Amino acid sequence: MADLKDKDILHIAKLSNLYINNKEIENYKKQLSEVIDYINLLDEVDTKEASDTAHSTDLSNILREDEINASSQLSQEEALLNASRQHNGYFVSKLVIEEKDY
Amino acid sequence: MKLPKTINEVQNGLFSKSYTCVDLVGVYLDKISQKDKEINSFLTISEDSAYKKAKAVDSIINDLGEKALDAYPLLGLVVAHKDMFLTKGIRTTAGSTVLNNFIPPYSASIVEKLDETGCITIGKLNQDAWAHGSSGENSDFGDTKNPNNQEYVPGGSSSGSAAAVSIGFCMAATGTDTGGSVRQPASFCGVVGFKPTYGAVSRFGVVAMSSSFDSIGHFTNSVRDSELIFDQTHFVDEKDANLKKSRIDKKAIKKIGIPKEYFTKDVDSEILKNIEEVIKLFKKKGIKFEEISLPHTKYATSVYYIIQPAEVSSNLGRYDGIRYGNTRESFSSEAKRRIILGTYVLSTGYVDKYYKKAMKVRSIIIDDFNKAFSKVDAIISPVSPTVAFKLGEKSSDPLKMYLSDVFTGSANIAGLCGLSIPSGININNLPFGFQLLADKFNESTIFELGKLYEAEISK
Repeated sequence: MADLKDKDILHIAKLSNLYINNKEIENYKKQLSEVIDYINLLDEVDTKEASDTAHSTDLSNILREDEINASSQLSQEEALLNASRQHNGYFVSKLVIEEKDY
Repeated sequence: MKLPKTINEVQNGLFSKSYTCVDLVGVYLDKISQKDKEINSFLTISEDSAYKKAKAVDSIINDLGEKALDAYPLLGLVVAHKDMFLTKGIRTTAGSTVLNNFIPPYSASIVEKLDETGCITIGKLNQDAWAHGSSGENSDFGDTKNPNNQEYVPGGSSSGSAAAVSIGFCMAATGTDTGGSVRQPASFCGVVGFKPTYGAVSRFGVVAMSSSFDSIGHFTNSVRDSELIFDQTHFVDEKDANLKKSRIDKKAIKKIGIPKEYFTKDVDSEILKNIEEVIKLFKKKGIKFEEISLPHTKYATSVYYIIQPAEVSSNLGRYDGIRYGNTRESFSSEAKRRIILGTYVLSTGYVDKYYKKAMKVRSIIIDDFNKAFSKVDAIISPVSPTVAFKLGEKSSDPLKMYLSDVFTGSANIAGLCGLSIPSGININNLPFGFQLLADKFNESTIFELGKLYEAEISK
């Protein structure tokens, strides 16, 4: 029986930038352990000879010319339309990198 | 005025001047304002732009008459879009609080295309948030009810879309089908639900759920209408790099396969009996049947619930609350559940056991279908083991909810096209349908079979 621990959930939550409270940790531990038990079913399948499928079309590396196509562009205004905070035409975000004097 | 149910009917009505397009839109909007409080299928109603378009449609009809159909083949079709579809200037939420104030600066390619062909967009439809769900109960904006019996779910994740077409709030609705989210609610609500081949319809401007499974489909009252809409949505769009304009020409349909793994004791006996009748009907028209096996069917849900959450965890990474939308605290529990599951199966130490293993079993499932389609032209099966379940019945048990996708998920794994066609109704007034699947780009096969069924039934 898959037995996820608090630390597993918290580690994943950190990796995926999610906020989880204590009650949620309990719920997710139980529910996800059940799902993981279920998906362990794939252990039964012999995949030694199988290739990987990423998607079902046979297309890959579809490229276009490195040219500006006006119809596929957003203006700066349009791009900022839904920003929670903006400043001088820039998106404003939380501080990610701090300046330090060494 | 009695609302028309098909494109042919509405175009006859408009060209014979029985009513104007403005009249038509007015009737739909009235109906929505009277009845949608109970059903909760719409999230946003775009009344002003709908009337504006309706006036334009009336002008076109006055100027060109029936010749208008050359340039505008879907003229007069009132549609609504699942809220996964970006609509420029009209709020788009994906059913989630994260985007409850998001006004897209552009429209999805197929929204634009349908607009260009003469459709009138009447609003945006409720859904499980981020398309995570099979019942409509994961919407951050309240459950949608099944219009056929309001104690029951309409199915999901395209819950509002199925409900709106079923009750007649619009003539067609768009949806996304990633693991069955068009076909299953179509069955639960008694309407036609179409999933195209993966890569046949542009996904540009549609909120991404699971990028190797997402298929852009739609709901209609008839198979013929479903085909007419696909004729328009299946076009080359440079903005979606994984698109193919292939389409296999109509070919003689000789044999339909009956996959034994889909006809088990877990399926409602009423549904099994109904499919027997459907098979008899096709046999009377000269179509042969053969029992086939899709031996890895039992692994499809595991493959799907590894790869899909993995892709979801990646796709939902863009919702940072900085460029658009609210912060990640606004995610509801199912979204978080899938992000955690997806991150887990991709994480160091687990990626080989789960994600890479699933990619290999995916190839094996695709092989099963290739073998089957070398023998048969189409596959028939139930859409779901049951009719719609009651609101609240499965909502507290995620795994139980996931397992209900058993008959629809494989088509997404293999990239096939599928059609859900209503064929019965139970004692609680709950509809159900049967599913037709065909090999990639063989939509004409399932449309021909669907139209054949409809023609026979209407006799």
